Amino acid sequence: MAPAEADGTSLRGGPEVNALLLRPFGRISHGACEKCGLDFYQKKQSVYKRFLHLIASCLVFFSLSPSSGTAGGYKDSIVKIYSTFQSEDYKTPWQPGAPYSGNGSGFVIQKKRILTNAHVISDARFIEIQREGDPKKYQATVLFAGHDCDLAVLTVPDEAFFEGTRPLSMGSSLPDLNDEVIVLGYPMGGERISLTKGVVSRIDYSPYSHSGMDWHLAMQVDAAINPGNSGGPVLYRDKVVGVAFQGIPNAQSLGYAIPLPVIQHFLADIADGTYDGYPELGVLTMETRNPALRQSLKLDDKNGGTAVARIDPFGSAFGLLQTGDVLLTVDGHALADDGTAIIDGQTMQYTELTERKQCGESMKIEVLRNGEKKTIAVPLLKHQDPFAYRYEYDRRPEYFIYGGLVFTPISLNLLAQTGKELNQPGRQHLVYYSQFAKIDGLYSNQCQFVVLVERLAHRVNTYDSQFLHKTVSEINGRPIRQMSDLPQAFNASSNNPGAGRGAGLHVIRFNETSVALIMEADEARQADAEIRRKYNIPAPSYLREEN
Amino acid sequence: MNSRLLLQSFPMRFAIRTAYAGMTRLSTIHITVAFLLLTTLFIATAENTLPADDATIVEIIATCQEYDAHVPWRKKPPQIRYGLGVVVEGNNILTFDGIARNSTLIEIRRARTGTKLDAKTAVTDEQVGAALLKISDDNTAAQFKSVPIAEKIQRNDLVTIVKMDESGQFQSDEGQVIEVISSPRGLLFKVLTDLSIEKNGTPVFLGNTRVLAGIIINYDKSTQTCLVLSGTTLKSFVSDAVSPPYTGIAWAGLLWEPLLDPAKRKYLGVDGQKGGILVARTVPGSGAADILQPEDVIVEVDGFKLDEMGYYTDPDFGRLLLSNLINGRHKPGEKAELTIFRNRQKTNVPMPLKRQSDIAQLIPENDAGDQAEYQADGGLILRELTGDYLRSAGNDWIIQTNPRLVYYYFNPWQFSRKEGEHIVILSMVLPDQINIGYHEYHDEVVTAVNGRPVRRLDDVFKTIDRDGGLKRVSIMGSGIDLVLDEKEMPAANKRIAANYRIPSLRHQRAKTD
Repeated sequence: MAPAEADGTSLRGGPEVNALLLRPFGRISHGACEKCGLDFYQKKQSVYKRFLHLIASCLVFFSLSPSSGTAGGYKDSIVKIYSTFQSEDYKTPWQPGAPYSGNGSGFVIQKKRILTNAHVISDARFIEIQREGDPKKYQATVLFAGHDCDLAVLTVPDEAFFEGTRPLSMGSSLPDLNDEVIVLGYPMGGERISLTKGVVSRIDYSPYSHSGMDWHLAMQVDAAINPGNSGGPVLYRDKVVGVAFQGIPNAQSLGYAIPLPVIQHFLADIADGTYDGYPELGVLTMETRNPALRQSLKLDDKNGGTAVARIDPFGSAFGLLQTGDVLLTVDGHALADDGTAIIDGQTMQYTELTERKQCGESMKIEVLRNGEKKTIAVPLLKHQDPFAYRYEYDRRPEYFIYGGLVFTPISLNLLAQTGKELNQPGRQHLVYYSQFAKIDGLYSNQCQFVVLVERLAHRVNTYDSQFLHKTVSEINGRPIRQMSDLPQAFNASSNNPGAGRGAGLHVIRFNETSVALIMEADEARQADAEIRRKYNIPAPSYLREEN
Repeated sequence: MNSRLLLQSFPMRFAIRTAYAGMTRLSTIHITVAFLLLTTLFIATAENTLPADDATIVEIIATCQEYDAHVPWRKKPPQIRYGLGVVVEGNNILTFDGIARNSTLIEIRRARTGTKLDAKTAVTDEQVGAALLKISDDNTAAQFKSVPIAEKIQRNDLVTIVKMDESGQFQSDEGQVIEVISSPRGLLFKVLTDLSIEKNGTPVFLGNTRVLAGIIINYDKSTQTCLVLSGTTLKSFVSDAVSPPYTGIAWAGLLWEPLLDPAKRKYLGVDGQKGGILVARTVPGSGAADILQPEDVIVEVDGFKLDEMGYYTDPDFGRLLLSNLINGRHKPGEKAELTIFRNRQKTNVPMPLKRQSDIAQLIPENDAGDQAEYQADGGLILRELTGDYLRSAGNDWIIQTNPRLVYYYFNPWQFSRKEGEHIVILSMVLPDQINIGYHEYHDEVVTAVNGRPVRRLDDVFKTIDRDGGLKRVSIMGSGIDLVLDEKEMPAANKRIAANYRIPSLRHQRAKTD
């Protein structure tokens, strides 16, 4: 994937569209595990090259090797899903994006439910499901969507749909490399069910492109992925071991499936009626291979133990673990100096242990702190981190318009839609904030970065172009920590001392410049009515707290 | 491409004088006929003979070798730069500064001869963008003739561009000064031309004379416009350069914005005034930083009123941006008298002017192409962040480079507001036994070395010298230092230097004041 291809023109196409997901920034690996939701800058690779292995399309390809009619046995389990989507437009957040449609696959699991990928139904306005051989399409609804792991469970209100269906059962363990698997689904190239075969070629942590931020275990199979296969099952000895979901454009014989542990985590999570998502331990580790480092950390000569370099302020370990701690064992598993442990007979990053836990469970971590061993229980909390920038779905972007100035929060969606324009001095700080908010302590002044994303040109704001894409620090003397601070700040009487000199003026200050944006309050109020008419703005704001 | 005739008044006058002297009783008609004949003769031959030009305009061939901005002990392959120069006062050659940067050999060539003559850089100023070269051999220098430099080139003045083409012929084109521009590097002007200008340094003369009006520093093919460094600035540069010490041009260190928005003018209390510009920021350590604050409004400089966009009316040059009030009328060390509005009060403040110093910035640009200072102990390459380091990543550097470093480049005040501080970075790690576990680190901001805070690379040198070696490096965003085995360090350094063929594990510039 050449750097030029990441043009960011579409956030995500439908399952049938081989869309490139633009992430203008990436994750750091300091030679050690970074599976903790923190973003770092990866060494020696260009931003775009870093995504060479970032899965771009969201569909699984398998090379067609016709099988012996086993497909017939599965026709009561596999379904075809037709979705019509309407994504949001983060650059003009008062209006919806353009509708488009696509199709994917899914399969019936217990309790009259259908499992598929989240990206098959995210932002969908209308979903229909069809069984093989049955011309009737049934309307479907979404019961649960896990956007951090790209899985979703649907159901069909019309129970007649489920008559004669045969739910697939989950496998008990992951297959090994070279084990033969089959993939079923509805890829492009035809209308009927398709079966393809491959072997498992790799099981490794991979970024999940639907989320744009999360990494989980992914199973690579040696068959290509086609648009339309998304959501279809990967079967090993008749049992589900994966859900086909991603591919790499221009790669050959590489298809990805969400493996059993991730599926099981998702299904276990939704058992209580709510999807809580993955908890985050929130620890950046550093490998302890260097003998001088080991000595300074008071580690003995034996190998093992991985050091804590940074704690995520919004992670579960905050306040419990400290930088400088060396993680020796996690839930009884001994950690090697690169952070790997032997889990289920396989060598994996220790974070897989957290991956298998639900919010509310706990981890037992043995650490070496200042030469002393301590055992610390870390309860895993529901992850609520305003600076974990993952793609938003099924939510409207927040915005607030005043005097023709459009304010919106920084989000991964906005950055993706801004695309190559981020490569400019006037906008680069958005990339910096989104990646380093927690690392460089920028979060202490705000929960959201409020950006002046657009200026709806009018006499009242005609000299204010220079402030575009800057982030607001205060308005009329009031600090702006999040979008919901805006209405009150503008209502603040301009006569109050903090509002600046001169009556009836709004004073807007930004983080990136010492020059303030000044606006006449009366003029702005009058202008807004005119602006709304001219620019077809249905509502002057959309704030989550009010809705 | 027009080759226009350049009539020189000198030979013409000479011809008439001789003619007249030789014929004591010639009538007017005879003189007129002689005049016309001679004119025809000159027209016929003028295209080939402009004797004065090849003694005043020379080709410069400079072989240069730039440093690798990313790997500081390396140099890039040598390259050759071509340009033109003009002989000025004292047989110096005036040209643009870029040509002589990091030069290994400078030669000049007279038109229509193949002989290359050795020359050396006498003075170069990246801020002005001009350089003075000197021919090494005084005897060879004697064949050249210097030209005077005009002091005042105004809008609509007629000028002549004289270029030297590939075969050593001179071609000239008349033009008109379409715009005089005031900039931080001095006065510039623009001329349209039919000639295709291939070499920077191509001279522009006043009218039909050989008085230098400027040298071309940029040529835009699509608009056929030359950007010319004006004689006004060049004259000042040359007289400064030939009388050491070199003083340079004055600089205020002021970042300002036009003040057009009526709402903003009301807020600042200057809505009743006309004109004035807004102080946005001042550069730490500059004269402006001493006396100006953000939200000051500057209405006058040295008694000249500024309009809302920063223009004033110059008695000689007409409407100019305020830069000329600083660098055109003052020298470093002087003061400019500002009239400002601060908190709605009008007041006069004298602003000291200095010479701009690249290394005084938080992130120097390094336009001079100097070799970066560095320390390479234990394979950890520590150096200061500079503009050329960032740009070495290519055209997409803004998005390709560590976002934190790029952010500080565009917003240096967010890192530090103190003068003389620089950002020290761990640029890369050369893998070796001693730095196992750290090989992935690159472009990290270094906050401390051996436990001592670091605010410039000098702090690194001092700490290492005092402690006998690099022991630990603290980086921004990580609570764990990179620790190195001090006992192993000498052997490791030897190994690394040999393995990676690094000529020296430290490069430290000699301190000049």
